[in-house]
Amino acid sequence: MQPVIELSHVRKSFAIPGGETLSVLDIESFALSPGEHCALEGQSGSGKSTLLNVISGIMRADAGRVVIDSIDLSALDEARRDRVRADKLGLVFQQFNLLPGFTALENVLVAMTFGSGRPDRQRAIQLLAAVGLHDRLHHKPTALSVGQQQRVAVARALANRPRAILADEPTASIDSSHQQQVIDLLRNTCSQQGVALLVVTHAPEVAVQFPRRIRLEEFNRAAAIAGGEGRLQ
Amino acid sequence: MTLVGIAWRNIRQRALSSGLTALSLALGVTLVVATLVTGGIVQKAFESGSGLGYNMIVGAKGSPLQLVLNSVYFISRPIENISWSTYQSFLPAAERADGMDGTFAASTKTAVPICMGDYFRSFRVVGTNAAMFDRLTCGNGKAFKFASGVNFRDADFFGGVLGVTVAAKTGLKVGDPFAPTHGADDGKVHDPFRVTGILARTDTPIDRGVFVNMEGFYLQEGHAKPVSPQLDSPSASDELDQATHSQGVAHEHQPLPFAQREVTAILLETASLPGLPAELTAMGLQTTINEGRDAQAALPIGEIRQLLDLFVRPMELLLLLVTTLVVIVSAMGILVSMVGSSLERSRDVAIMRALGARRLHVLTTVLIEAVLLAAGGGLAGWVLGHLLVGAVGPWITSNAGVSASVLSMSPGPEALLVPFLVLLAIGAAILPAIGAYRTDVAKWLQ
Repeated sequence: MQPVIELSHVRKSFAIPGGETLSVLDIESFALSPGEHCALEGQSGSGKSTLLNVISGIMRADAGRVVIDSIDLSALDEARRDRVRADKLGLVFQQFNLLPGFTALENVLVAMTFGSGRPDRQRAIQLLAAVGLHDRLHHKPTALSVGQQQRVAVARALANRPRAILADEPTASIDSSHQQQVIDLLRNTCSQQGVALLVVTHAPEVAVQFPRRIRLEEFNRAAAIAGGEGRLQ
Repeated sequence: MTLVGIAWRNIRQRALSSGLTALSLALGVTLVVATLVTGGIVQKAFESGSGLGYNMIVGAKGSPLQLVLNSVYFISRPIENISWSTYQSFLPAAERADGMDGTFAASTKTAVPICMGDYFRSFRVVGTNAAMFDRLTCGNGKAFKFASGVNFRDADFFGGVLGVTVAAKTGLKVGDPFAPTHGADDGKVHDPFRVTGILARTDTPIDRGVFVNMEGFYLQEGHAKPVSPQLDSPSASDELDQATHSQGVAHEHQPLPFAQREVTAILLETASLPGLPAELTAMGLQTTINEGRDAQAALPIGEIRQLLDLFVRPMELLLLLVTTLVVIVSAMGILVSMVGSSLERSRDVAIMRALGARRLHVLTTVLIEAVLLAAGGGLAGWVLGHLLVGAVGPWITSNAGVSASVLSMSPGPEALLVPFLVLLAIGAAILPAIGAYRTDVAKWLQ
């Protein structure tokens, strides 16, 4: 079966003051199958966020191939990478990153605006109902609890029927009593929708709940060599 | 949700700063609209006087503009009077005592004499004859209409007609007497006239005029031209007297002899000479009169156009320039507001970009925000401007003799105002839009 996400020989580095470059990613290969749930575990500075940015096309890799649902992002310009991100991937952030001026329903509809399909209000309502927010459709983020905001973020990530959801430290900013709810929500919802799930986390207690658990240092040579601080070149 | 919907949400999210920006735009536009509409009203006030059914004014030698301002708009002072014989030279044989066509009779369709110098309160009193309202028009060929009463008859020496503004301001009604005063401010009050009719609104200077039978006007103290007895022409007064009696009117006054008469100006509707276009006839007549020593002929339309070109339009242009600067400054408010909210915006832009928005989407959204602010503020200002004109409309109407209301429109520039403002806003929003376009998504999502 064709992987939803496939990385090969991906490298990413950043220029730093003094004319040097800091290597952050050096990944030989990685693949995520359709419907697969995987946790990428790594310490702060191990390149977790950079990896998600490269996979989602927000950043372009310096070298190597990033293939999303058979589309090679490396060969695409930024606008086309944006389109792939909108259509094929859903993003869930550590801070939830809901648009503060928009209601829960509008946050989902905004995501639909940028996809290939037409914004579907009915589907947006169904998605919010599926995460238990049928009575919070018209509430703005400030009127929602932390857990409810995260639910909106999950519903929004599913807005354009993505092939995979990328979650960046989804439990980092919530208390331990809610962490399990969020993980359950993500996994259950993705299972119901048949969507692959890639969660990056620094928390072993989160990573351990996933059927596939990878320590970033094990396959990101840049992180391994520099002990989590990247490699100077 | 569309990009317009997203832009509208962004505006509502920053309701206070967006509201203040729109308000500043609205006030700028209010100023411009009020200026444009008022300018249009001033222009209309002048142009309205140049379509009263006559195309030429004959008066004493001097400034043609002063002749027009005085005769048509009842502003400025009369230059001097011209002789009765000059007036007679425009009349056909049927209207002359000697039974011969006047020198310019063939080139004249209608000649209406006016005599000025008296006032009723602050309004000009114009001595004239019944042809003023029977044969001239109140613009675009429309005959004068009376709101109440009728035109005075030539035989009714002390009959008078009031413009609608005069009637409204003085409270005079048909049948009421009114006594003009002499223009010299010597406190002398003339014999009273009686209101025979009140004109319907014309939106011309006529609305501000008091029109009395010139026969009565001549009989007022100090209005007769002093002449030596041998120059008197009894035949003329006899004929007029005969005419008035033939209309069945008996009165105790004898008409002033022709030799003691003068007129301030003659309102002429020129005729076409056989084989000549009307314009050429008028030009030829004007040249002939101006070459003579007795009078000058002025074309109201030409003089007013010159006046507008020389004074009114430059003034309008200056006002327009100032108000345009006000609008530009207001539009800069959009730039300030958007730059001020750029920090907040950057995070939202980064989120939208992470959700798949292209750079072009965020750039367009920022520009749409500016367009919505400009269009909203502009339209609100447009409405406010018209409400302002509507509020001062009654004052303008009573003082300028031109109707001004909420619905008064300025031709041309007003229609371009909001589109211009929108373009300006787009220009002002380009920088913040480019800032949004360049937002570093990864940085703002950390």
